[in-house]
Amino acid sequence: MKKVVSSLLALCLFLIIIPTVTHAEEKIPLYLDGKLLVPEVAPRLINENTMVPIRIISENLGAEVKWNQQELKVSIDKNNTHIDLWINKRNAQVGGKTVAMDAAPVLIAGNTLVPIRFVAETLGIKVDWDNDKRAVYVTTKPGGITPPTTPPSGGGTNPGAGGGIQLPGGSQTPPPTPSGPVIQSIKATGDEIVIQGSAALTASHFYLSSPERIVVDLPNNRLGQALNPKLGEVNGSGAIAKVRYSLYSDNPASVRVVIDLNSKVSYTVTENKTANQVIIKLKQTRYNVMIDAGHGDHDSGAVSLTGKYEKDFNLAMALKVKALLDKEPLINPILSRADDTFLELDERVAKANNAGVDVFVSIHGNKYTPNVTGTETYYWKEDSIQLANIMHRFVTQAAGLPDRKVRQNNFRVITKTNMPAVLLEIGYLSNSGDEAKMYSPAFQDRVAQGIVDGIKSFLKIQ
Amino acid sequence: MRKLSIVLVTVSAAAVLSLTACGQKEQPIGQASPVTSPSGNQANGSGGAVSPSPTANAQKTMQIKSYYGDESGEKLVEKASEIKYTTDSSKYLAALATLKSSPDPKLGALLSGFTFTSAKIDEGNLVVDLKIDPSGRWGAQGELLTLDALKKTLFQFSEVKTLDILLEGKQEESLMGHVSFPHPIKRN
Ligand SMILES: [Zn+2]
Repeated sequence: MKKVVSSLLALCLFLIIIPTVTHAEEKIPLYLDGKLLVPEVAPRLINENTMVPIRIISENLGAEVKWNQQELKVSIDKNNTHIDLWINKRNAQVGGKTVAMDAAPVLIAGNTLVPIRFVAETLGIKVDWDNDKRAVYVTTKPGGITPPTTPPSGGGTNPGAGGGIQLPGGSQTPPPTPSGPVIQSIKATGDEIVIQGSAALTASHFYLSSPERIVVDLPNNRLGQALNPKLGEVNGSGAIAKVRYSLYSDNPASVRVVIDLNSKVSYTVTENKTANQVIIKLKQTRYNVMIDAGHGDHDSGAVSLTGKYEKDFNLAMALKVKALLDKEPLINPILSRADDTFLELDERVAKANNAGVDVFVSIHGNKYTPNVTGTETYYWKEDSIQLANIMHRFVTQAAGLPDRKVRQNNFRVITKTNMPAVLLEIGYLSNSGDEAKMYSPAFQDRVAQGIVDGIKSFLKIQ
Repeated sequence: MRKLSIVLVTVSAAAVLSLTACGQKEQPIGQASPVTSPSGNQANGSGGAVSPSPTANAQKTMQIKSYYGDESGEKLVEKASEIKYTTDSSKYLAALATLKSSPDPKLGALLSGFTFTSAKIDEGNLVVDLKIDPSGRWGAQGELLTLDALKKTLFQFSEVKTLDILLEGKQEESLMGHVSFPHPIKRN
């Protein structure tokens, strides 16, 4: 009975989804700076728009991509541009402004496809369409390789032309078996990954965060017979969630290995030329957490009801939080100021950005008219919502003051820092009840512990 | 004939100064017909050069909008007020003076701790020099509202194209250590 219901449901979904997809669908070769990409899910033409899997946006265009399952929302961040897209919605938000797209993002077989032209051009990346070759050319490097305006003689010789590339699930005839070096195996054991080649390997690599992952490229190689011909994954353990691999570029051949991580790591890549191996060794590493005590020196911050300074409350709190974080083996706490000194807002931002900080928490005491009381948590960027929600939960619980909610506002230190960042307004120094508590050591200890618990919860430590 | 359709996107300039100012355009005041007061009442010490011309000395009255913080310190509240002034410079100072105390005890006088030293306009750029008493420093949201109240109050004068706020004569990054603002601030 249950089975019948679920297959009926599946049929309904099938009927809902398929018509929009099958219509005018065509798989499209996608070239990045002149190189043909062979992503796990092929780009395709849907209603005259080239749609690409979202992974291309993060791993090839270098943007930060976040997926919100509840809202079916994709958030894309690159430099100062922020784009929000929703599955099946034609309206996107760019920097908070609504912009209509020609095609809505779609979810196909668990893969989110987004309109490449809209996303790339919004990020300032050039996109060209070659109607003869029916291919898309994306140029990330200024003055980079532009697509040939006319196909190089005859058409059919270039593997990118005429849709002759092999794609997963595609029905094209396989290309002639290419010769040359191949990757024979990829093994993940403990915190070590061994990539075995048929010849000496050279690897290039880079690290991406949120989510944490390492990307390793192996140029001049294809995938060997033991590996799924185009892509696949192996399971990991410890710090390794899984290892994905694909023939990332067809011409010239290049294999890309992506190591999805459970936590932040430091790593080494060793090329063993005699054994034809690349060995990637991972070591769990500490998260850099910056605690920013607001104000300082001639900037007293708010003056409390009984004439005490906000800067002193902030510093006392920051020092308590630092002392607690010092006990955490996976956290490296950094203070923006450790004494009564003044820092411009942009100096705080620069410190955090230059130190490669993973989490930024600014501590403040609030002031308004005497009746207002409670705790507020501010964030600005999309990447900070989760941190703000978690921190607010822990801090309000520890402080026991009225809940004045998580709010979004553009305070400099949470706007310009390039990691998840929040500004905590613990309580009101202008309110007699709040003020009395805020200068009591017991309250400060409790809230400091709440801040530490919030940070650990966000980083999934313990 | 398929082709990729092009979507033109206007990415808003990154410099968003404050949230609350977005979307709400400052209107030049409609009812702002300056009335020349018949009384020879001298405007109190604007400090500026007082012109000997009797017309320039004549006191004018103007209805303006003034801005205060709401009861819970979350948003601005607009109130009508009347200013009397003689010179341009004293007009801006008179407008700013309305922000120092609130007509309604429930509202927050955001600029209660401010002392305005001068307000001079030159080719559309209004330079306001001010001082903030430490007791007049608010928390993060209060600072945002304060800066917004200043902007809304001064940009209601259509001749003010840009606003440069100086803190004791200097172009500082921030008024109270949470919000930064450019020099000058452009009318949005
Ligand atoms: Zn503060």
